[in-house]
Amino acid sequence: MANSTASSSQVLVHCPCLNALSISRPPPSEPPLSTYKHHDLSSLLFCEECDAIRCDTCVSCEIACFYCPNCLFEVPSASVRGEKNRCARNCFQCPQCTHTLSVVASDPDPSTPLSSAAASAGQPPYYLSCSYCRWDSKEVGIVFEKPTGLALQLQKSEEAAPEIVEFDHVKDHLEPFLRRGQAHAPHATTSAATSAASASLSSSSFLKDMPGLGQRYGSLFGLSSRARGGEAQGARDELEKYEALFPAGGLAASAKGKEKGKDVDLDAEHVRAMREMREMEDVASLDKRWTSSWKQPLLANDLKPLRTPLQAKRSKRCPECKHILIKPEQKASSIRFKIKLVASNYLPSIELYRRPPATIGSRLSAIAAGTASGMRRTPRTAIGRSMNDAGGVEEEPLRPGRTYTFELSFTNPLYEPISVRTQVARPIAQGGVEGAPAPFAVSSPTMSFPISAYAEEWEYEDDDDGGRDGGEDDDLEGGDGSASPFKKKRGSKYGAGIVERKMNRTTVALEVAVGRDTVGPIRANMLVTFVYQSEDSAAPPSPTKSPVKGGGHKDDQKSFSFWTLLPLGTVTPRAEPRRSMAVSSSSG
Amino acid sequence: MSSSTPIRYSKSDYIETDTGNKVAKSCHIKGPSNIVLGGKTIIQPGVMIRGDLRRAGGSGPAVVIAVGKYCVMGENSVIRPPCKTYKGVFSYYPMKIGDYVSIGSNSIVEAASIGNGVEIGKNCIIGPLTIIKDNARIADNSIVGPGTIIPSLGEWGGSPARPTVTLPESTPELIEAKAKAYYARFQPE
Repeated sequence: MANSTASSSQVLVHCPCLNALSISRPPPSEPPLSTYKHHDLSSLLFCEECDAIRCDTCVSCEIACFYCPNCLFEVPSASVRGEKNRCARNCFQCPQCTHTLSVVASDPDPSTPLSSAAASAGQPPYYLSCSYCRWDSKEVGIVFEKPTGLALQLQKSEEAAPEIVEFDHVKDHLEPFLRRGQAHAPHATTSAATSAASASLSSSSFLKDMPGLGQRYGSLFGLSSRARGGEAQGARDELEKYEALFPAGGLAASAKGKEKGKDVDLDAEHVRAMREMREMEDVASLDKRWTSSWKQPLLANDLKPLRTPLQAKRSKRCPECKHILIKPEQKASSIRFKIKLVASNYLPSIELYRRPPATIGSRLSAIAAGTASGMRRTPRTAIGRSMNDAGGVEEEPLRPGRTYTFELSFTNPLYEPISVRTQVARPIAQGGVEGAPAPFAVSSPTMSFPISAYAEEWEYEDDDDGGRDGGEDDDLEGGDGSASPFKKKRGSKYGAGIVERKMNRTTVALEVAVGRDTVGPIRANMLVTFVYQSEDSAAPPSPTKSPVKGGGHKDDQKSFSFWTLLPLGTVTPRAEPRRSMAVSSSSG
Repeated sequence: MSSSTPIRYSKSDYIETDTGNKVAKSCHIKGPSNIVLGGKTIIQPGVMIRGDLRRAGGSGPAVVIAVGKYCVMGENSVIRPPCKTYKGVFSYYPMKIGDYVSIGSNSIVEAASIGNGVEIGKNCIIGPLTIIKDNARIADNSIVGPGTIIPSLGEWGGSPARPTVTLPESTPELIEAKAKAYYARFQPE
């Protein structure tokens, strides 16, 4: 994130992905298991019906519209298949570097004066040129008479190409088989309705597009269509033998042979080209060969320009209740959504920030700056540091055996005040070793605090504002990071552990003691439960029912729980006994 | 630093306009009468903005570079209107930058149009006549070839830049909040 600085990070939120949330058992906190289930709050969705977090991996997606990323033309879905998922207008990609090609005219007669209009307009034939790598389509013999309707002009040569003819032949061959499968497809979908997972699969366009799949591989997906079928199934499985129009392997050779009227051995040609080859780049790389064309040429200078692949906007549904969570507007360039249920409108966002230990340098500068000034922390040397630049500041790593104070800032997006209870799970030993000492310990694992409702900025009263500065001055005097924030009087204004309450944001302190033998990144699982008043059981944005009841509440109070992952930092043992900036910044 | 901690700058290093723009005194602004800033935009030290490169043949004031509100131009970035020769006439073309746009330090931008909420990383080169749609993001150290069109909510990176991922749906709100928060934090000493 560009304008958050190095030492502050977003707390990741856990998506249970249809599994029931367990309050007592935290989700795995160490990668690779943690990476797939913990997300930035901004990338999560929220289903109001199920009252649950949804992530990109558990929602079911549907294509809302296709568009060309270059000309931003919305392609009707009916013509997508016919155009082979590529733009049928004037958009082409460079086969070498994938940059968009532009149509240029050939150079005019050298006698034309350079300042004349004709000199810059050029003349036919036109060709495609890459402004990035200087590739041009004349290299592969593609030129155009006029600079418009290029795809149409190219289509003629494309349609006659043996690989396209062969592909169409295969399609024609499989079509009747697929149609037969489609006629019986409803069996699979109805019998599968029992299990939620297979239902979503069978209703997905995946199986609709490939009807035979449900019958043939249904058992793999948990579809039980075995009972039906019988003889019909056997008949459906039968596919006539396919006979290729062009012999395998000799596709290009036969085409070339036809053109020249004699048999050309393609292999011999390749061998000859390779003998003369001086550079590795002359061979088309594998990814270009596989993704870039129907034909897969061996030599780089055989690669043809590609029509730009289409992109799609997706609408997303809750996997459980099938309600739409995301529905984009059809227009390709629009960023508006008709339906958009994102988790950041429902859950408090949490920011983690490590309070820097007061080093000798910062104490000196604090004295220099004067205690009454607003300089509470190490003054930033680069005045007016760019927000993009700030990410480059190296964070000092954590040291084993020391205690650090973290601040957690909760921001409430709801229009009603909430009361939050956090509970940090007991950290498990590194590497899952039984009986090993915990890598770190949190001093007060459970905390409860309120957060005010979200409101426009001018609606907040002023009296909250001074809260933080009052508390910060004695923080400076208190010196090193190991001093406990709880021993001071600072918390007294708001309650134990609360550093600041300002508008819809509450900041609490968390003390973490790093174990003596801990090395590497440490992460903490934290359960967040928030309770809010729901004045109307159906009114948004209040989620209606709750899977997890915070026990002992009145009926009009609702609660919601979710797990979070706090990336506390990386523990690096000190390389030298002396503390120096060079050492601390050299480690990752 | 937590997101509410002020970022301090020396008051003598910046000029603040009536509309809240904060322009570093050490940046190189050519043709200032042709540049429009939308307000609350921060221009960091060393930035070069070429408002003097205007359409051929015109006279009198013209808007060469229009910038929206809450934008940040990183240190030593270069904002330069794109040029091309059309029908025998070499000309510069105006550049439009939307709201909440951030341009990383040391980036060179020659785009024709940059939408709202676009984030351009550090050390990028945005080629001439590029069009970047709303809330797209360009990763650090990317080179966007001339004339590229980057669709909305796409993240592009590499050289030449190619699409990498689609940004989440809540990106517009996130970027807007971030840009406003950054401006609020950017305070004089």
